[in-house]
Amino acid sequence: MNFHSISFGVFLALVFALFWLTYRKRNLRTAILAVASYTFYGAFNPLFLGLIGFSTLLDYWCGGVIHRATDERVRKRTLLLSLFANLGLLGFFKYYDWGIENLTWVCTQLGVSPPLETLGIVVPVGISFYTFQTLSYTIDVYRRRMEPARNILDFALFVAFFPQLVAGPIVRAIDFLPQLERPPRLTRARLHDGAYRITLGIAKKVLVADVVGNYLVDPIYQAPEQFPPWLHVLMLYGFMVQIYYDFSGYSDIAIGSARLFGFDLPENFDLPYRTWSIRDFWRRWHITLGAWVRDYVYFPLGGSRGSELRVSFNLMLTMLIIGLWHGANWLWVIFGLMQGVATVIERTYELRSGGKPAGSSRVRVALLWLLLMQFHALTYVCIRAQDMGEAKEILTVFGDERGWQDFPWYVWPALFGGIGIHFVPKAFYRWVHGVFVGMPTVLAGVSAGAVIGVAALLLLGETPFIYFQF
Amino acid sequence: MVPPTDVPDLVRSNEGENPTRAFALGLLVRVVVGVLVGVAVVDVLVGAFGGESGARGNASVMTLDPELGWTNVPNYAGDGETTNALGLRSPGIPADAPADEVRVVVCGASNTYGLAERDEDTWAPKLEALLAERAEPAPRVLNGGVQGYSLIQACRRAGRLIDAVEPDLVVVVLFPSRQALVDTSPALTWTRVGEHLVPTELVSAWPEALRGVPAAIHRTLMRSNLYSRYRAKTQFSAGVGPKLSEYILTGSEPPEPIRGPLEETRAELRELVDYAAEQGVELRFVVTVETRGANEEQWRTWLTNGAKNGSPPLDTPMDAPFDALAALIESAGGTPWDLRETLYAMCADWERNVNGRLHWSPTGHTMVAEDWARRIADEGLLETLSTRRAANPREAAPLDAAEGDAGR
Repeated sequence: MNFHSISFGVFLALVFALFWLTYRKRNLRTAILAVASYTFYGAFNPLFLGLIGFSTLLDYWCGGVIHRATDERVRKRTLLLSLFANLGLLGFFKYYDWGIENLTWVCTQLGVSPPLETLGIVVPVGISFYTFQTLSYTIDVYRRRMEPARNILDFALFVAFFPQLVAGPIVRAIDFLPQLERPPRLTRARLHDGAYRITLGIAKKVLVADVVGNYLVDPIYQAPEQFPPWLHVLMLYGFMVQIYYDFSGYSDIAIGSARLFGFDLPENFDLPYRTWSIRDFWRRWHITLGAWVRDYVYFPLGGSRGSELRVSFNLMLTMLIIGLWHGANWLWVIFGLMQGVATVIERTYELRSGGKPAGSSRVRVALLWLLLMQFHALTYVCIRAQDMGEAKEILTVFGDERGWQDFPWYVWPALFGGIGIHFVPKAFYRWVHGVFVGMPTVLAGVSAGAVIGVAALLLLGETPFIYFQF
Repeated sequence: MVPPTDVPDLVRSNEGENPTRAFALGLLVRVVVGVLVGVAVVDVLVGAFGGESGARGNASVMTLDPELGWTNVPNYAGDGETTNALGLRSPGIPADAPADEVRVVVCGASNTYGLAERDEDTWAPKLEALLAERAEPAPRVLNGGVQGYSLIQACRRAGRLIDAVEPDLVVVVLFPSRQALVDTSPALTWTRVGEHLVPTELVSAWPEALRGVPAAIHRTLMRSNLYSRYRAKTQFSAGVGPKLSEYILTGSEPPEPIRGPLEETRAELRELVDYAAEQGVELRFVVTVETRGANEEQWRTWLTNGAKNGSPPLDTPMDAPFDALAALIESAGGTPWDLRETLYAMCADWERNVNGRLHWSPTGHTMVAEDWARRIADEGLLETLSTRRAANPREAAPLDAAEGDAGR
């Protein structure tokens, strides 16, 4: 069930009605959302329910034991059990086949027969997201930063809450569970805000990401030998635009949908292409993943404390984990390492210049921004290409059989507008948002319907969100 | 378009701290009504100002069609390109056209349409001139080509035109490229529900007895400009994966991904063969090849470029696709016309016979017209058809028949 489908719209309206009909009864409203979330997830593949159910039961139990136990060894062992089980499942479903492929390659080079075969495993949708969520729960309970979930129903809803289950934002139990305790609020302004975010997300996904993806990026990836180099370059920028609007569009719909039920989810993006700094970029791009890895990987490794070499290692490892979190592929390893190298270079430069940022004048900011855009465009080949061969081909194989006239006109405003919109002052967005939130509800609905209508005009099938695969 | 990162005070306000159920449901109803009104407004505006929306290629001469995906705009007049009331790239059929004239309709894709060439330079008027020397009244040749058509689309259009223009001979031009195959995704297949054909994807999940419900919703929604355009786009675009799209037929055992599409293709061919026979119409399938595969150098280049997308091995003979496509047609009960020698001859003089868009040039069209005229003569088709038509003249010229209303 894609967010930008009629079926999701009907589903959302039904759950909304049921939830607010029963919202005074805490357990009932929680149960309704939990059942709705499992229904939503089961629509992708009912077999995945077993896996998420197992993770939920295990981590709920682990959280309880860790909290109750007074013996530090018991607490530590239970935490380790949670870590091994969650990371083991993630590792098996996401990385087993890749590991075996690499092992097979090594065995072939050595002239020995490989001991195991790949299993053709289908990666359950959203496993990377909910695994990180459940891990944060047991770790935070272990650190005594929070109480365990009051009951299994609350915890099941935390793990499977349908707006953010499949592709985030990654929500932590410490932020989510307290929201179950207080009665949900519904105001006209909050409802408008939710509708605004949903509409915005649909517009980002269909009017920008899918237009650029379907009509510019995909054709060139499918036949790079037919297009000249300058169109390849535009296509690289195009993918940059596509992935941002695709993922941030999803996040907007998730945040907006959650708000309809009285929940506030954390923001996941903050105009990431506006910055000239790679480190600032990672504070603006997939914010909840960056924060998770910072708190549960980078800081435990030592963070910014220690020698320059040690900090550089911490940064490289953190970025490598971010890369590998996305997928089991050497391209993701390269992506993570490139991000790590860029981060280390920027940090080292600042240290050497006495803490003075690299972008210390307008000209330098502009140049650094341009440089960072090229870096993104280039490194994102690792995200879009299926394998090394395709990545190489897209960067080296050109032709002149087709040109700009082979693309529909609306690709270009979507592409350039998609980047340019980053530089509109934030005050303008606040104004648009304020107008939408303040208008009569019917009029807000009409505005949303108009945007949805225009989106429907450009809709070409239901192109899945890119981050569903992670 | 980018939202603020903090929730504004307005949203944080405590207004309605304890909402009543009626308040919540009232908001929901107002939003839903508003959304429907908003969508309806866009729908009306699209209908009023949207014009005909092109699907691909030379968009101005094409329009979306819910069943065919896209087709030619009727009565189009562009730079050297015109269509008649039926969207055929030929002059209209006058009301006083002889009731016993022999009519030849040819359906196919961009080469048949005559991409990037003027009307008078395409094969249709040339074939008509060649046939006019041999029969009285002069046969009428109608160009039913539409850019980008697959075999399925060409067959479906041929079926429509059998109803609309009562031809004596229908020719469907086929290429052993991805256009020869169809995707098996449910969006591309049709299920009969009562009197109507409905996209299979809309009814497949429903029990047989209840399929009338989604079918009725579908038919109602087809009045909407947005929905009908959406269906037209998805009907022939959804699910065409890059792998399948670059497969071509070979003489070898078809690999797993194209077995299903081959079966679908065969079924569609068989349906047209049966329908033509039922209507007493002669039917021929021209087996030809894209110009890019009609000389050794082009063929090797195409195989090399398509290798990653599933095209045949590099040592595949240039003739293999012809043989496989001919076999496919014969297995469906059709009669193939093999155009390979003409195409090879055409592409031997590339500069002269192939235009800048890799399609037949005016001289290329002349070669094709001469080839088809020769085949018609060799089979004695003109004499047979003239005799049949004289014995069974048409009752009325279908000058103003709306192509969309004619269904099989």
